[in-house]
Amino acid sequence: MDEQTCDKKREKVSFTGLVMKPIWATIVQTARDSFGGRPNTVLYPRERLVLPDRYRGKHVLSFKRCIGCGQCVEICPNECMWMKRIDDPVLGKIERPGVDYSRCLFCGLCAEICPTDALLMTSEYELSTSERDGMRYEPEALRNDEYPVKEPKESLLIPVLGLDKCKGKEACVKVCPVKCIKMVDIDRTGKRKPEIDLSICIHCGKCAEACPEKAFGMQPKLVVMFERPLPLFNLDKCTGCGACFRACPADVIYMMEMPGTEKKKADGTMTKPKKRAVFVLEKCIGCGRCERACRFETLEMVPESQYKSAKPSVAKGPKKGGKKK
Amino acid sequence: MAEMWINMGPQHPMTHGLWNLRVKVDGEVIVDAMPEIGYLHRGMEKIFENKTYTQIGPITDRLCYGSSFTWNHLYCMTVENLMDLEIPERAKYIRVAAIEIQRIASHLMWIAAFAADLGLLTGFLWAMRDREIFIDLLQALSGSRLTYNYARIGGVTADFPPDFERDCIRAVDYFEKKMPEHESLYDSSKIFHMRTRGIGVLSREDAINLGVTGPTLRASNAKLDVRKDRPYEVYDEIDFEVQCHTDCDCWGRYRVRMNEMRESCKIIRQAIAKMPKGPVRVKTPLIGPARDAIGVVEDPRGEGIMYVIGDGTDRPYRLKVRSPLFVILSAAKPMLLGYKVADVVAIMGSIDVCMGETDK
Repeated sequence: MDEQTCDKKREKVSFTGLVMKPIWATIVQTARDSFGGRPNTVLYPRERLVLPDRYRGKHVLSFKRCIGCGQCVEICPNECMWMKRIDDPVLGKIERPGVDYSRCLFCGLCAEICPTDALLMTSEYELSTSERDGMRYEPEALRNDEYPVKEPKESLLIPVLGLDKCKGKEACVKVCPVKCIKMVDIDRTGKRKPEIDLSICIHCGKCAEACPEKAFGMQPKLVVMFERPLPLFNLDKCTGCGACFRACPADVIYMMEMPGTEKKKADGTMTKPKKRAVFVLEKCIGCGRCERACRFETLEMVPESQYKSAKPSVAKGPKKGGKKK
Repeated sequence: MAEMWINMGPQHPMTHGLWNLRVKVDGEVIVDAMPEIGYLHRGMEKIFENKTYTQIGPITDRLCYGSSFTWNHLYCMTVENLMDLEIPERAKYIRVAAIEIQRIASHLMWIAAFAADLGLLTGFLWAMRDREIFIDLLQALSGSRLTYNYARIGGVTADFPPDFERDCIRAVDYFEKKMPEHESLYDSSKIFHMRTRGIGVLSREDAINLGVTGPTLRASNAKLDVRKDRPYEVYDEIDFEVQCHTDCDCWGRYRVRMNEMRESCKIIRQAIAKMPKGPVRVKTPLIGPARDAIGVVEDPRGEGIMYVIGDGTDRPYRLKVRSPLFVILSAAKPMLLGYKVADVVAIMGSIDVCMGETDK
């Protein structure tokens, strides 16, 4: 025990010095607060604190901006979100997320990963109810299409290819000042498509101006700061059923006919050629819906960083090094 | 007089959180002590194994309610070490500033709890009032009052909001003006002196042998601080003093924490002044490689360590959390022996117990 060292330092204690001093400090503070200062508390139901813009409270969901990709459901650490199928009179058959606030952490990951800024967090914090089910918010209850985006995500204007319009005339390749566009063959279709290296692209928009078919359009794409996986396509297994095309929320997938796959029917007429999926990965948001929709194990989700070196597991698929920045 | 065991806890005003301190008393003198923990065990380390690297972030906030940003930051730093991720310079400075704001808030909560333990309710109210300013800063920065979830693997969520630098400097100015008031409340209170001086002495040898870290170790006259000895983020570019005290008792721990708050104010000023412009985040990778990594930070309560083993998937194979208080609580016996039952509150209060991280 080092009590001696402590005792040595002990100051001389007198009643007025060491008891009255803190009392005096308290009195001064109280007097200052009562006469000159502002109160430290607010009368809650009547007055409210001003909350910062970033406050993470209840969600709002813009049905119009939401594309129903389901990444918010996937990233939620507490599994408090789910996708609900809705038959909307304007938007048709859609899927939108709902939130169960009895499980929500209010971590904000769902709003952060949202690729269209459709799911936002408001500063509404009064969520208590008298019923247990009252904490479960269906997508309709979260809907607010007019809610402004307070801190929009950084967006990049990227040239988005409408593959159905593209005729492969290569005007974009010639005009690109940084040579980020290359023509690549689409296997077994005899067609070619321009492929953009977004890591080089300077977002000048010249390809969009030069395109004779107006296949390129400059569209803003929000930068999501989480690496997402991209679908790796295995052509040998593809049956051309189009399930991935229907599942894709971001219009990444195009179905193209493969000439030479027509078969002769018994009555002499030819069948329609087989189709295959073609991916324009610049638009891809990496939600993985195509992979889940495919029943023939054609697709495999591969992280962006490994995508260039990845090979489909059986045979060589189409070479599409579509890389997002 | 017969000896007997007294259970101080799990529900006891002394225990900040749920834990049980069993003390054996002979009359009023403590002859044996045994901390019992596990009442707040949530299986954090097992939860971590079943979540992706991104999803673990908000859960690490829940490790310690007093300084959640430190643990969130420690997790992100450890995984960045695992993934060999170089984060932008500005993000590092923002993290340092936020850690120090968090440290002041945490120490203020400690002084509030400690003062309330010792019967100084004024100290509690004043400290909580001033803590609110720093909580407001962190709220404006991250969007939440207690569980910030501000650090991300690869940087921080967002840049400073508008006028945040000005608010920071104002808050620090205000707090530095208020520090003498806080200190006058304790330094000149005879009751506080009587209840802390020479109480809960933990010698330098004992502290080092038992693995005690943080302000408790520095109050035992050992000048060890991870921020100085093994600088992480940009602490090597920032000028500050490691605070230590020779008293080895509750008073020393109080002085160390008070001086640390002053140093934190200095660090916040420097971090904001030196902060470069630029991006605050790089993209969070999806997959962690199959190797292991370690991260060490100076938590307001001691040395926090996380050890992560990746197995080439998007989830960690194992994430070990070394909590400083788990170790400091093992020093309860040498700190308590020979003192009176009434001193238990002061001694245990002085180590800033937070059960969230202890039980994990």
